[in-house]
Amino acid sequence: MTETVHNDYEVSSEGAVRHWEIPYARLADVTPTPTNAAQVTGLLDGHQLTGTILTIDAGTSVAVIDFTASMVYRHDVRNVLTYAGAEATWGPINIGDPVYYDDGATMVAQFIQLSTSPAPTGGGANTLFGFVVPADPTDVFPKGAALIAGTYRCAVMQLGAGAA
Amino acid sequence: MTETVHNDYEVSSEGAVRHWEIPYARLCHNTPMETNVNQVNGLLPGHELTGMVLTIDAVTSVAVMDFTAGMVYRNDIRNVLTYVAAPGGAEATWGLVNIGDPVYYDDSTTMPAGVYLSTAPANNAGAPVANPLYGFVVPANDADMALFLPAGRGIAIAPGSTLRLAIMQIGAGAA
Repeated sequence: MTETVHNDYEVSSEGAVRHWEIPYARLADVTPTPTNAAQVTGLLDGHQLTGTILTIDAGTSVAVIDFTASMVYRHDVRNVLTYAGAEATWGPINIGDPVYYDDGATMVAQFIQLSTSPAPTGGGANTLFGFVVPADPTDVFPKGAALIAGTYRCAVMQLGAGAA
Repeated sequence: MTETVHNDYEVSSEGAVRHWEIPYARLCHNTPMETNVNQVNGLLPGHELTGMVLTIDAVTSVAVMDFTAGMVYRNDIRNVLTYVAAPGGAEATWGLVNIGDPVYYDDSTTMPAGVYLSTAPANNAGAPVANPLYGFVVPANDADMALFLPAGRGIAIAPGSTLRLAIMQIGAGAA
């Protein structure tokens, strides 16, 4: 193989907004719902591609996902920090806190995708989805409190294709 | 030194598309070629800045690179997962490549000429050095999507394979 100039190398258009189709079969949640967060299944636990579902095509089983880095969407965020089988500890959610795509069984049962826990119940690692930011000047923080479990709708600045 | 408001702080224009000049001397592959990926040398292995070479200026030895997070380009990917644990170790294991899989800039000495990306998170330096995450495999179009499902693409046993795939790059969003 020799190094060549590729004549078919550019796939997306220019511009940093990136909406892309992903088949249901490659999503952590294979029954995706528009406006919810999504994670694409990948080889390395904790380092998956994530984004926000814009729309779905049930006919072809394909979701259109926004992978734009730094887009801000409101998402439901569970304030769990750690698990011991069930949720074990919780904390207040504040501006700047990291938010993870958490596919643990307790989250799936609640139909919530995001939490403040870096690891899901059962072990492994959650993928960093983004960071909590204020939605507007009236958005009140912190949300929730230590020792009290809760789910809060927060503005989250997503990493998208800027994932680590 | 005191904390001040800087009057020269903005270097790039606004907008999230980022094309930037890098001297050849700071590139991992210092004879860069357009439409191929490259890595900017950095202090921390596994956390280097990566992107796509758009054009080169051979007179000034400068490459213009696209560091835009989320751009999708077709790249050649080696489907190696691990190397024999010795300096310059041969490819040891391979895997099927599927949508969503992470892809790394891999400077291993066994990479074929003109191929810079693989699915191996560490190179073949013996004491493995982490490869920086370059991006994620995505479908190029509907026909391409169908080729991945259900199990993925490539040859998961020796001699492995090199695939031209659409990659959503991390670019300046890298960590």
